[in-house]
Amino acid sequence: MTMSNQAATTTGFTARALTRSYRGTRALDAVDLTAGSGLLGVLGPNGAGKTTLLRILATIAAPESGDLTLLGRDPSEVRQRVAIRRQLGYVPQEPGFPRGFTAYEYVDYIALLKEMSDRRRRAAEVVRVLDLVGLTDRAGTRIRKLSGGMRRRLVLAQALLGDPALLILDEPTVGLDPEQRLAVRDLLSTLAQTCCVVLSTHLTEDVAALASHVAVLVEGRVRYDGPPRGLAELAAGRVWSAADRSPGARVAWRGEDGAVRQVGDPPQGADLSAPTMEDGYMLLVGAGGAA
Amino acid sequence: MSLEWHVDDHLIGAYRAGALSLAQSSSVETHIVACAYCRAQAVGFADAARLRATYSNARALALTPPQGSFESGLRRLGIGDAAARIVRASPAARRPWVMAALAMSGFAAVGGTVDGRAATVLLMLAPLVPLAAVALAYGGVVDPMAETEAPLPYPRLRLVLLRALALLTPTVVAMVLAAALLPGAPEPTWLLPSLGLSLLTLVLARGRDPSPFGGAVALAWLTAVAVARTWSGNVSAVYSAGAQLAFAVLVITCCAALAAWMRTPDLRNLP
Repeated sequence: MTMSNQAATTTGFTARALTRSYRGTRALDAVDLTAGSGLLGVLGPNGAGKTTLLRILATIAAPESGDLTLLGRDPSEVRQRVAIRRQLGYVPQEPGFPRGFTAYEYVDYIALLKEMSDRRRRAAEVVRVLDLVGLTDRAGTRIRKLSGGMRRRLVLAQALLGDPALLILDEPTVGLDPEQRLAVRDLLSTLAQTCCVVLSTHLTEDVAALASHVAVLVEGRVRYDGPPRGLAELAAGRVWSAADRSPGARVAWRGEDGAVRQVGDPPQGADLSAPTMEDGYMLLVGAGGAA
Repeated sequence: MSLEWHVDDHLIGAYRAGALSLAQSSSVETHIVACAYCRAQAVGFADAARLRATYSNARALALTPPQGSFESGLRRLGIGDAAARIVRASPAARRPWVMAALAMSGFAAVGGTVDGRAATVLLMLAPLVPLAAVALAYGGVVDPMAETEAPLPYPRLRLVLLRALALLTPTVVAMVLAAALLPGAPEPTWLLPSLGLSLLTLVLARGRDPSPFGGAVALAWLTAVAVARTWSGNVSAVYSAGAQLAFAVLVITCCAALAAWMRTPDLRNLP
Protein backbone atom coordinates (compact mmCIF):
# COMPACT_ATOMS: atom_id res chain seq x y z
CA MET A 1 0.00 0.00 0.00
CA THR A 2 1.46 3.33 -0.99
CA MET A 3 0.53 5.24 2.11
CA SER A 4 2.92 7.73 3.58
CA ASN A 5 4.17 6.76 7.02
CA GLN A 6 3.13 10.11 8.43
CA ALA A 7 -0.49 9.60 7.42
CA ALA A 8 -0.47 6.03 8.63
CA THR A 9 0.72 6.93 12.09
CA THR A 10 -1.81 9.63 12.97
CA THR A 11 -4.85 8.41 11.02
CA GLY A 12 -5.89 4.81 10.75
CA PHE A 13 -3.69 2.06 12.11
CA THR A 14 -0.45 0.16 11.70
CA ALA A 15 -0.26 -3.51 12.63
CA ARG A 16 2.92 -5.58 12.55
CA ALA A 17 3.09 -9.33 13.10
CA LEU A 18 -0.20 -9.46 15.03
CA THR A 19 -0.80 -12.93 16.41
CA ARG A 20 -3.72 -14.20 18.43
CA SER A 21 -4.92 -17.71 19.24
CA TYR A 22 -8.25 -19.01 20.45
CA ARG A 23 -8.41 -22.44 22.10
CA GLY A 24 -5.21 -23.64 20.51
CA THR A 25 -5.90 -22.47 16.95
CA ARG A 26 -4.22 -19.46 15.41
CA ALA A 27 -6.98 -16.96 14.67
CA LEU A 28 -4.41 -14.43 13.45
CA ASP A 29 -0.95 -15.41 12.33
CA ALA A 30 1.65 -12.64 11.94
CA VAL A 31 -0.71 -10.16 10.32
CA ASP A 32 0.91 -7.05 8.83
CA LEU A 33 -1.57 -4.40 7.79
CA THR A 34 -1.60 -0.62 7.52
CA ALA A 35 -4.44 1.73 6.65
CA GLY A 36 -4.87 5.49 6.58
CA SER A 37 -8.04 7.40 5.75
CA GLY A 38 -10.29 5.67 3.27
CA LEU A 39 -12.08 2.36 3.43
CA LEU A 40 -10.23 -0.88 4.07
CA GLY A 41 -12.30 -3.90 3.12
CA VAL A 42 -11.33 -7.05 5.00
CA LEU A 43 -12.50 -10.04 2.99
CA GLY A 44 -12.35 -13.65 3.98
CA PRO A 45 -14.39 -16.79 4.46
CA ASN A 46 -16.03 -17.53 7.81
CA GLY A 47 -13.45 -18.36 10.45
CA ALA A 48 -10.64 -16.60 8.58
CA GLY A 49 -9.91 -14.29 11.53
CA LYS A 50 -11.81 -11.18 10.36
CA THR A 51 -13.72 -10.72 13.61
CA THR A 52 -10.60 -11.35 15.69
CA LEU A 53 -8.71 -8.70 13.71
CA LEU A 54 -11.57 -6.21 14.01
CA ARG A 55 -11.97 -6.80 17.76
CA ILE A 56 -8.26 -6.11 18.21
CA LEU A 57 -8.56 -2.93 16.13
CA ALA A 58 -11.56 -1.92 18.28
CA THR A 59 -9.42 -2.31 21.47
CA ILE A 60 -11.67 -5.10 22.79
CA ALA A 61 -9.15 -7.90 22.43
CA ALA A 62 -5.38 -7.64 22.75
CA PRO A 63 -2.92 -9.39 20.44
CA GLU A 64 -0.66 -12.00 22.03
CA SER A 65 2.28 -10.62 20.14
CA GLY A 66 3.02 -8.00 17.52
CA ASP A 67 2.90 -4.21 17.40
CA LEU A 68 -0.25 -2.19 17.00
CA THR A 69 -0.69 1.55 16.64
CA LEU A 70 -4.21 2.97 16.45
CA LEU A 71 -4.60 6.64 15.51
CA GLY A 72 -0.94 7.13 16.36
CA ARG A 73 -1.38 5.71 19.87
CA ASP A 74 -0.55 2.52 21.71
CA PRO A 75 -3.71 0.61 22.71
CA SER A 76 -1.86 -1.51 25.27
CA GLU A 77 -1.29 1.55 27.47
CA VAL A 78 -4.38 2.46 29.56
CA ARG A 79 -4.55 6.21 29.03
CA GLN A 80 -3.75 5.98 25.34
CA ARG A 81 -6.39 3.29 24.94
CA VAL A 82 -9.01 5.58 26.46
CA ALA A 83 -7.85 8.36 24.10
CA ILE A 84 -8.24 5.95 21.15
CA ARG A 85 -11.70 4.90 22.37
CA ARG A 86 -12.83 8.53 22.38
CA GLN A 87 -12.27 8.57 18.60
CA LEU A 88 -13.53 5.11 17.82
CA GLY A 89 -16.81 3.75 16.47
CA TYR A 90 -17.54 0.04 16.48
CA VAL A 91 -20.27 -2.14 15.02
CA PRO A 92 -20.02 -5.66 16.43
CA GLN A 93 -21.00 -8.66 14.35
CA GLU A 94 -23.80 -9.72 16.68
CA PRO A 95 -24.83 -6.67 18.69
CA GLY A 96 -27.35 -7.02 21.49
CA PHE A 97 -29.81 -4.45 22.76
CA PRO A 98 -30.97 -3.51 26.24
CA ARG A 99 -34.52 -4.67 26.94
CA GLY A 100 -37.31 -2.18 26.55
CA PHE A 101 -35.23 0.64 25.04
CA THR A 102 -36.44 2.79 22.17
CA ALA A 103 -34.14 3.53 19.22
CA TYR A 104 -33.47 7.00 20.64
CA GLU A 105 -32.75 5.72 24.16
CA TYR A 106 -30.32 3.13 22.83
CA VAL A 107 -28.27 5.65 20.85
CA ASP A 108 -28.52 8.12 23.74
CA TYR A 109 -27.24 5.41 26.11
CA ILE A 110 -24.15 4.83 23.95
CA ALA A 111 -23.69 8.63 23.75
CA LEU A 112 -23.64 8.74 27.56
CA LEU A 113 -21.00 6.00 27.59
CA LYS A 114 -19.09 8.05 25.01
CA GLU A 115 -18.93 10.71 27.70
CA MET A 116 -21.29 13.20 26.07
CA SER A 117 -22.58 14.69 29.30
CA ASP A 118 -24.07 17.93 27.97
CA ARG A 119 -27.76 17.08 27.42
CA ARG A 120 -28.46 19.58 24.68
CA ARG A 121 -25.39 18.70 22.63
CA ARG A 122 -26.01 15.01 23.15
CA ALA A 123 -29.60 15.33 21.92
CA ALA A 124 -28.41 17.12 18.77
CA GLU A 125 -25.77 14.44 18.16
CA VAL A 126 -28.22 11.56 18.67
CA VAL A 127 -30.62 13.12 16.17
CA ARG A 128 -27.76 13.75 13.73
CA VAL A 129 -26.69 10.08 13.65
CA LEU A 130 -30.29 8.84 13.50
CA ASP A 131 -30.70 11.17 10.49
CA LEU A 132 -27.58 9.71 8.86
CA VAL A 133 -28.99 6.18 8.92
CA GLY A 134 -32.54 7.30 8.11
CA LEU A 135 -34.12 6.27 11.41
CA THR A 136 -35.21 9.65 12.79
CA ASP A 137 -38.88 8.86 12.28
CA ARG A 138 -38.38 5.66 14.32
CA ALA A 139 -36.67 7.43 17.23
CA GLY A 140 -39.50 6.67 19.65
CA THR A 141 -40.06 3.06 18.48
CA ARG A 142 -39.03 0.23 20.78
CA ILE A 143 -36.11 -1.72 19.36
CA ARG A 144 -37.94 -5.06 19.47
CA LYS A 145 -40.47 -3.59 17.03
CA LEU A 146 -37.81 -2.61 14.48
CA SER A 147 -36.98 -4.84 11.51
CA GLY A 148 -33.62 -6.60 11.29
CA GLY A 149 -32.34 -4.08 8.74
CA MET A 150 -33.40 -1.17 10.92
CA ARG A 151 -31.58 -2.67 13.90
CA ARG A 152 -28.40 -2.99 11.82
CA ARG A 153 -28.71 0.69 10.88
CA LEU A 154 -29.35 1.59 14.52
CA VAL A 155 -26.11 -0.11 15.54
CA LEU A 156 -24.34 1.78 12.76
CA ALA A 157 -25.84 5.02 14.12
CA GLN A 158 -24.32 4.52 17.59
CA ALA A 159 -20.91 3.91 15.98
CA LEU A 160 -21.11 7.31 14.24
CA LEU A 161 -21.63 9.29 17.47
CA GLY A 162 -19.00 11.98 17.90
CA ASP A 163 -17.59 11.68 14.36
CA PRO A 164 -15.02 8.93 15.07
CA ALA A 165 -11.64 8.98 13.32
CA LEU A 166 -11.57 5.19 13.24
CA LEU A 167 -14.69 3.24 12.35
CA ILE A 168 -14.62 -0.54 12.76
CA LEU A 169 -17.57 -2.32 11.16
CA ASP A 170 -17.98 -6.09 11.41
CA GLU A 171 -20.27 -7.18 8.57
CA PRO A 172 -22.43 -4.04 8.67
CA THR A 173 -24.42 -4.90 5.54
CA VAL A 174 -25.65 -8.33 6.70
CA GLY A 175 -29.44 -8.46 6.83
CA LEU A 176 -29.98 -5.28 4.84
CA ASP A 177 -32.30 -5.33 1.85
CA PRO A 178 -30.80 -4.09 -1.46
CA GLU A 179 -32.13 -0.56 -1.02
CA GLN A 180 -30.80 -0.25 2.54
CA ARG A 181 -27.49 -1.74 1.44
CA LEU A 182 -27.10 0.97 -1.18
CA ALA A 183 -27.97 3.69 1.34
CA VAL A 184 -25.42 2.33 3.81
CA ARG A 185 -22.77 2.08 1.06
CA ASP A 186 -23.47 5.68 0.14
CA LEU A 187 -23.05 6.75 3.77
CA LEU A 188 -19.86 4.73 4.24
CA SER A 189 -18.24 6.09 1.11
CA THR A 190 -18.91 9.63 2.37
CA LEU A 191 -17.47 8.81 5.79
CA ALA A 192 -14.39 7.18 4.25
CA GLN A 193 -13.40 10.53 2.75
CA THR A 194 -12.57 11.92 6.18
CA CYS A 195 -11.85 8.95 8.44
CA CYS A 196 -10.44 5.44 8.45
CA VAL A 197 -13.19 2.87 7.93
CA VAL A 198 -12.39 -0.80 8.37
CA LEU A 199 -15.16 -3.04 7.13
CA SER A 200 -15.26 -6.81 7.20
CA THR A 201 -17.48 -8.69 4.83
CA HIS A 202 -17.64 -11.88 2.88
CA LEU A 203 -19.27 -10.09 -0.03
CA THR A 204 -16.81 -8.95 -2.69
CA GLU A 205 -19.47 -6.63 -4.11
CA ASP A 206 -19.42 -4.54 -0.89
CA VAL A 207 -15.68 -4.15 -1.20
CA ALA A 208 -15.74 -3.55 -4.96
CA ALA A 209 -18.25 -0.75 -4.43
CA LEU A 210 -16.52 0.95 -1.53
CA ALA A 211 -12.97 0.00 -0.74
CA SER A 212 -9.86 1.95 -1.58
CA HIS A 213 -7.82 -0.86 -0.06
CA VAL A 214 -8.52 -4.58 0.30
CA ALA A 215 -7.04 -7.22 2.55
CA VAL A 216 -7.93 -10.88 2.08
CA LEU A 217 -7.60 -13.02 5.21
CA VAL A 218 -7.44 -16.79 4.87
CA GLU A 219 -6.85 -18.94 7.94
CA GLY A 220 -5.49 -16.03 9.92
CA ARG A 221 -2.99 -14.88 7.31
CA VAL A 222 -3.10 -11.92 4.95
CA ARG A 223 -3.22 -13.44 1.48
CA TYR A 224 -3.70 -10.17 -0.38
CA ASP A 225 -3.15 -6.57 0.61
CA GLY A 226 -3.57 -3.83 -1.97
CA PRO A 227 -6.02 -1.97 -4.21
CA PRO A 228 -9.25 -3.72 -5.27
CA ARG A 229 -8.11 -3.65 -8.89
CA GLY A 230 -5.08 -5.73 -7.98
CA LEU A 231 -7.31 -8.47 -6.62
CA ALA A 232 -9.04 -8.77 -9.99
CA GLU A 233 -5.67 -8.76 -11.73
CA LEU A 234 -4.59 -11.80 -9.72
CA ALA A 235 -7.05 -13.78 -11.74
CA ALA A 236 -5.98 -12.33 -15.12
CA GLY A 237 -5.60 -15.12 -17.60
CA ARG A 238 -7.14 -17.64 -15.23
CA VAL A 239 -10.85 -17.04 -15.69
CA TRP A 240 -12.54 -19.17 -18.31
CA SER A 241 -15.96 -19.58 -19.71
CA ALA A 242 -16.99 -23.00 -20.99
CA ALA A 243 -20.04 -25.13 -21.63
CA ASP A 244 -19.29 -27.45 -18.72
CA ARG A 245 -17.16 -27.66 -15.60
CA SER A 246 -13.66 -28.98 -16.19
CA PRO A 247 -11.62 -31.03 -13.69
CA GLY A 248 -8.80 -28.45 -13.57
CA ALA A 249 -11.03 -25.67 -12.20
CA ARG A 250 -10.45 -24.52 -8.66
CA VAL A 251 -13.87 -22.96 -8.49
CA ALA A 252 -16.63 -23.00 -11.04
CA TRP A 253 -20.20 -21.80 -11.15
CA ARG A 254 -22.84 -21.39 -13.80
CA GLY A 255 -23.36 -17.76 -14.71
CA GLU A 256 -26.46 -15.93 -15.87
CA ASP A 257 -25.66 -16.65 -19.51
CA GLY A 258 -25.74 -20.40 -18.83
CA ALA A 259 -22.01 -20.83 -19.40
CA VAL A 260 -19.79 -22.18 -16.63
CA ARG A 261 -17.40 -19.58 -15.30
CA GLN A 262 -14.34 -21.16 -13.79
CA VAL A 263 -11.17 -19.95 -12.21
CA GLY A 264 -8.00 -21.98 -12.50
CA ASP A 265 -6.05 -23.80 -15.17
CA PRO A 266 -7.40 -23.56 -18.75
CA PRO A 267 -10.00 -26.18 -19.51
CA GLN A 268 -10.44 -27.54 -23.01
CA GLY A 269 -12.62 -25.56 -25.37
CA ALA A 270 -12.96 -22.62 -23.02
CA ASP A 271 -12.74 -18.91 -23.70
CA LEU A 272 -10.69 -16.53 -21.60
CA SER A 273 -12.88 -14.09 -19.63
CA ALA A 274 -12.12 -10.70 -18.13
CA PRO A 275 -11.40 -11.20 -14.42
CA THR A 276 -13.41 -9.55 -11.64
CA MET A 277 -12.52 -8.98 -8.01
CA GLU A 278 -14.62 -11.96 -7.06
CA ASP A 279 -12.54 -14.17 -9.39
CA GLY A 280 -9.33 -13.04 -7.69
CA TYR A 281 -10.89 -13.64 -4.29
CA MET A 282 -12.10 -17.10 -5.31
CA LEU A 283 -8.62 -17.93 -6.53
CA LEU A 284 -7.19 -17.08 -3.09
CA VAL A 285 -9.92 -18.66 -1.04
CA GLY A 286 -11.21 -21.49 -3.22
CA ALA A 287 -10.13 -25.07 -2.57
CA GLY A 288 -9.28 -24.25 1.04
CA GLY A 289 -7.12 -21.31 0.09
CA ALA A 290 -4.54 -23.54 -1.54
CA ALA A 291 -4.00 -21.22 -4.50
CA MET B 1 -52.74 45.56 7.89
CA SER B 2 -51.58 47.42 4.83
CA LEU B 3 -48.32 46.17 3.44
CA GLU B 4 -47.76 49.00 0.95
CA TRP B 5 -44.94 50.26 3.13
CA HIS B 6 -41.67 48.31 3.39
CA VAL B 7 -38.69 48.38 5.72
CA ASP B 8 -36.04 50.36 3.83
CA ASP B 9 -32.26 49.85 3.88
CA HIS B 10 -31.73 52.73 6.28
CA LEU B 11 -34.22 51.36 8.80
CA ILE B 12 -33.00 47.77 8.58
CA GLY B 13 -29.41 48.99 8.94
CA ALA B 14 -30.33 50.86 12.13
CA TYR B 15 -32.23 47.78 13.36
CA ARG B 16 -29.25 45.47 12.78
CA ALA B 17 -26.94 47.96 14.48
CA GLY B 18 -29.29 47.97 17.48
CA ALA B 19 -29.83 51.71 17.11
CA LEU B 20 -33.65 51.61 17.22
CA SER B 21 -35.85 52.07 20.25
CA LEU B 22 -37.76 49.08 21.60
CA ALA B 23 -40.98 50.33 19.95
CA GLN B 24 -39.27 50.84 16.58
CA SER B 25 -37.53 47.43 16.76
CA SER B 26 -40.79 45.69 17.60
CA SER B 27 -42.48 47.46 14.73
CA VAL B 28 -39.77 46.32 12.28
CA GLU B 29 -39.97 42.73 13.55
CA THR B 30 -43.77 42.64 13.36
CA HIS B 31 -43.68 43.97 9.83
CA ILE B 32 -41.03 41.50 8.63
CA VAL B 33 -43.00 38.58 10.01
CA ALA B 34 -46.15 39.74 8.20
CA CYS B 35 -44.63 40.96 4.91
CA ALA B 36 -43.37 38.42 2.38
CA TYR B 37 -41.39 41.03 0.47
CA CYS B 38 -39.43 42.24 3.52
CA ARG B 39 -39.00 38.67 4.73
CA ALA B 40 -37.34 37.82 1.44
CA GLN B 41 -35.09 40.85 1.82
CA ALA B 42 -34.21 39.93 5.41
CA VAL B 43 -33.15 36.36 4.52
CA GLY B 44 -29.88 37.76 3.20
CA PHE B 45 -29.03 39.13 6.64
CA ALA B 46 -29.55 35.85 8.43
CA ASP B 47 -26.54 33.78 9.43
CA ALA B 48 -27.27 30.47 7.67
CA ALA B 49 -25.11 28.40 10.01
CA ARG B 50 -26.78 29.89 13.06
CA LEU B 51 -30.22 29.31 11.58
CA ARG B 52 -29.34 25.69 10.86
CA ALA B 53 -28.04 25.24 14.40
CA THR B 54 -31.17 26.79 15.88
CA TYR B 55 -33.36 24.59 13.72
CA SER B 56 -31.49 21.39 14.51
CA ASN B 57 -31.49 22.21 18.23
CA ALA B 58 -35.24 22.79 18.17
CA ARG B 59 -35.71 19.54 16.26
CA ALA B 60 -33.51 17.58 18.65
CA LEU B 61 -35.46 19.00 21.56
CA ALA B 62 -38.73 17.97 19.94
CA LEU B 63 -37.45 14.43 19.29
CA THR B 64 -35.94 13.92 22.74
CA PRO B 65 -38.27 11.65 24.65
CA PRO B 66 -39.14 12.56 28.23
CA GLN B 67 -37.18 10.65 30.84
CA GLY B 68 -39.00 7.53 32.01
CA SER B 69 -40.25 7.22 35.59
CA PHE B 70 -37.57 4.67 36.57
CA GLU B 71 -34.70 6.90 35.41
CA SER B 72 -36.18 10.11 36.79
CA GLY B 73 -36.70 8.31 40.11
CA LEU B 74 -33.02 7.37 40.17
CA ARG B 75 -32.09 10.93 39.26
CA ARG B 76 -34.06 12.22 42.23
CA LEU B 77 -31.85 10.02 44.40
CA GLY B 78 -28.89 12.05 43.12
CA ILE B 79 -27.74 9.58 40.47
CA GLY B 80 -26.39 11.10 37.23
CA ASP B 81 -27.80 10.70 33.71
CA ALA B 82 -25.23 8.11 32.65
CA ALA B 83 -25.48 6.05 35.82
CA ALA B 84 -29.29 6.06 35.73
CA ARG B 85 -29.28 4.83 32.13
CA ILE B 86 -26.67 2.17 32.90
CA VAL B 87 -28.79 0.85 35.75
CA ARG B 88 -31.82 0.73 33.47
CA ALA B 89 -29.83 -1.00 30.71
CA SER B 90 -28.62 -3.69 33.12
CA PRO B 91 -29.39 -7.14 31.86
CA ALA B 92 -32.62 -8.44 33.31
CA ALA B 93 -32.82 -5.54 35.76
CA ARG B 94 -36.14 -6.81 37.07
CA ARG B 95 -35.22 -10.47 37.41
CA PRO B 96 -33.12 -10.39 40.63
CA TRP B 97 -36.21 -9.40 42.65
CA VAL B 98 -38.00 -12.49 41.49
CA MET B 99 -34.93 -14.69 41.94
CA ALA B 100 -34.20 -13.45 45.47
CA ALA B 101 -37.82 -13.55 46.63
CA LEU B 102 -38.17 -17.10 45.28
CA ALA B 103 -34.96 -18.18 47.02
CA MET B 104 -36.06 -16.77 50.36
CA SER B 105 -39.56 -18.24 50.00
CA GLY B 106 -37.88 -21.59 49.39
CA PHE B 107 -35.78 -21.20 52.54
CA ALA B 108 -38.85 -20.17 54.52
CA ALA B 109 -40.89 -23.11 53.25
CA VAL B 110 -38.13 -25.61 54.04
CA GLY B 111 -37.36 -23.96 57.37
CA GLY B 112 -41.03 -24.15 58.32
CA THR B 113 -41.56 -27.83 57.53
CA VAL B 114 -38.32 -29.70 57.94
CA ASP B 115 -36.21 -29.62 61.08
CA GLY B 116 -33.00 -27.56 61.32
CA ARG B 117 -30.65 -29.62 59.15
CA ALA B 118 -31.97 -28.94 55.63
CA ALA B 119 -32.66 -25.33 56.54
CA THR B 120 -29.06 -24.90 57.73
CA VAL B 121 -27.70 -26.30 54.47
CA LEU B 122 -29.94 -23.95 52.51
CA LEU B 123 -28.81 -21.07 54.68
CA MET B 124 -25.24 -21.85 53.63
CA LEU B 125 -26.37 -21.39 50.02
CA ALA B 126 -28.11 -18.05 50.66
CA PRO B 127 -25.01 -15.88 49.97
CA LEU B 128 -24.74 -17.51 46.55
CA VAL B 129 -27.92 -15.72 45.39
CA PRO B 130 -26.50 -12.15 45.61
CA LEU B 131 -23.15 -13.51 44.43
CA ALA B 132 -24.83 -14.86 41.28
CA ALA B 133 -26.46 -11.46 40.69
CA VAL B 134 -23.04 -9.77 40.77
CA ALA B 135 -21.30 -12.47 38.72
CA LEU B 136 -23.87 -12.13 35.92
CA ALA B 137 -23.98 -8.33 35.99
CA TYR B 138 -21.61 -7.62 33.12
CA GLY B 139 -20.35 -9.51 30.07
CA GLY B 140 -20.79 -13.23 29.70
CA VAL B 141 -23.82 -14.87 28.18
CA VAL B 142 -26.61 -12.89 29.84
CA ASP B 143 -25.37 -9.42 28.88
CA PRO B 144 -26.16 -8.74 25.22
CA MET B 145 -24.65 -5.25 25.29
CA ALA B 146 -21.12 -6.06 26.45
CA GLU B 147 -19.65 -6.32 22.95
CA THR B 148 -21.01 -2.89 21.97
CA GLU B 149 -19.99 -1.32 25.29
CA ALA B 150 -16.49 -2.78 25.39
CA PRO B 151 -14.75 -0.15 23.20
CA LEU B 152 -16.50 2.87 24.75
CA PRO B 153 -14.43 5.33 26.81
CA TYR B 154 -16.73 5.24 29.87
CA PRO B 155 -14.66 3.97 32.83
CA ARG B 156 -15.05 0.21 32.80
CA LEU B 157 -14.80 -0.25 36.56
CA ARG B 158 -17.60 2.26 37.10
CA LEU B 159 -19.75 0.52 34.48
CA VAL B 160 -19.27 -2.90 36.08
CA LEU B 161 -19.88 -1.55 39.61
CA LEU B 162 -23.09 0.21 38.55
CA ARG B 163 -24.30 -2.92 36.81
CA ALA B 164 -23.46 -4.99 39.87
CA LEU B 165 -25.21 -2.56 42.21
CA ALA B 166 -28.23 -2.53 39.90
CA LEU B 167 -28.61 -6.27 40.46
CA LEU B 168 -27.20 -6.62 43.98
CA THR B 169 -29.40 -3.94 45.59
CA PRO B 170 -32.81 -5.36 44.57
CA THR B 171 -31.62 -8.90 45.30
CA VAL B 172 -30.53 -8.10 48.84
CA VAL B 173 -33.56 -5.88 49.52
CA ALA B 174 -35.91 -8.62 48.29
CA MET B 175 -34.15 -11.20 50.46
CA VAL B 176 -34.30 -8.97 53.55
CA LEU B 177 -38.00 -8.20 52.92
CA ALA B 178 -38.84 -11.86 52.34
CA ALA B 179 -36.93 -12.84 55.49
CA ALA B 180 -38.84 -10.23 57.50
CA LEU B 181 -42.26 -11.11 56.12
CA LEU B 182 -42.15 -14.88 55.80
CA PRO B 183 -42.52 -16.95 58.94
CA GLY B 184 -39.67 -19.44 59.29
CA ALA B 185 -37.28 -17.50 57.04
CA PRO B 186 -33.66 -17.49 58.24
CA GLU B 187 -32.13 -14.82 60.48
CA PRO B 188 -30.12 -12.27 58.45
CA THR B 189 -26.81 -13.93 59.33
CA TRP B 190 -26.35 -14.45 55.58
CA LEU B 191 -26.28 -10.71 54.90
CA LEU B 192 -22.63 -9.86 55.70
CA PRO B 193 -21.26 -13.01 54.00
CA SER B 194 -23.41 -12.18 50.94
CA LEU B 195 -22.03 -8.66 50.70
CA GLY B 196 -18.48 -9.82 51.46
CA LEU B 197 -18.48 -12.48 48.74
CA SER B 198 -20.14 -10.17 46.19
CA LEU B 199 -17.70 -7.32 46.80
CA LEU B 200 -14.74 -9.70 46.78
CA THR B 201 -15.85 -10.85 43.34
CA LEU B 202 -15.90 -7.24 42.11
CA VAL B 203 -12.46 -6.57 43.58
CA LEU B 204 -10.99 -9.66 41.93
CA ALA B 205 -12.68 -8.90 38.58
CA ARG B 206 -11.47 -5.29 38.66
CA GLY B 207 -13.62 -4.23 35.72
CA ARG B 208 -13.45 -7.48 33.81
CA ASP B 209 -16.29 -9.96 33.28
CA PRO B 210 -17.04 -10.95 36.91
CA SER B 211 -18.55 -14.39 36.14
CA PRO B 212 -15.37 -16.52 36.38
CA PHE B 213 -14.33 -14.69 39.57
CA GLY B 214 -17.81 -15.18 41.02
CA GLY B 215 -17.50 -18.88 40.25
CA ALA B 216 -14.15 -19.06 42.05
CA VAL B 217 -15.50 -17.17 45.08
CA ALA B 218 -18.57 -19.44 45.23
CA LEU B 219 -16.29 -22.48 45.15
CA ALA B 220 -14.15 -21.00 47.95
CA TRP B 221 -17.29 -20.38 50.04
CA LEU B 222 -18.59 -23.93 49.56
CA THR B 223 -15.13 -25.27 50.45
CA ALA B 224 -15.13 -23.14 53.63
CA VAL B 225 -18.56 -24.52 54.54
CA ALA B 226 -17.34 -28.09 53.96
CA VAL B 227 -14.19 -27.47 56.00
CA ALA B 228 -16.22 -25.93 58.85
CA ARG B 229 -18.42 -29.01 58.87
CA THR B 230 -15.48 -31.42 58.97
CA TRP B 231 -13.56 -29.57 61.67
CA SER B 232 -16.24 -28.36 64.01
CA GLY B 233 -18.94 -30.81 63.00
CA ASN B 234 -21.28 -27.87 62.59
CA VAL B 235 -21.70 -25.90 59.37
CA SER B 236 -23.00 -22.90 61.33
CA ALA B 237 -19.37 -22.08 62.22
CA VAL B 238 -19.25 -19.99 59.02
CA TYR B 239 -21.94 -17.80 60.58
CA SER B 240 -20.32 -17.52 64.02
CA ALA B 241 -19.66 -14.12 65.59
CA GLY B 242 -15.98 -14.36 64.62
CA ALA B 243 -16.89 -15.14 61.02
CA GLN B 244 -19.35 -12.23 60.96
CA LEU B 245 -16.60 -9.91 62.14
CA ALA B 246 -14.25 -11.23 59.47
CA PHE B 247 -16.91 -10.62 56.80
CA ALA B 248 -17.47 -7.08 58.11
CA VAL B 249 -13.73 -6.43 57.72
CA LEU B 250 -13.85 -7.96 54.21
CA VAL B 251 -16.78 -5.70 53.21
CA ILE B 252 -14.98 -2.57 54.46
CA THR B 253 -11.68 -3.55 52.82
CA CYS B 254 -13.33 -4.28 49.47
CA CYS B 255 -15.28 -1.01 49.55
CA ALA B 256 -12.09 0.91 50.34
CA ALA B 257 -10.19 -0.82 47.51
CA LEU B 258 -12.94 -0.14 44.97
CA ALA B 259 -13.25 3.49 46.08
CA ALA B 260 -9.48 3.97 45.76
CA TRP B 261 -9.43 2.43 42.28
CA MET B 262 -12.30 4.64 41.16
CA ARG B 263 -10.16 7.66 41.96
CA THR B 264 -7.18 6.32 39.98
CA PRO B 265 -7.68 6.86 36.23
CA ASP B 266 -5.37 4.00 35.20
CA LEU B 267 -7.19 1.47 37.37
CA ARG B 268 -10.64 2.85 36.68
CA ASN B 269 -10.16 2.26 32.96
CA LEU B 270 -8.84 -1.27 33.07
CA PRO B 271 -8.89 -3.48 31.14
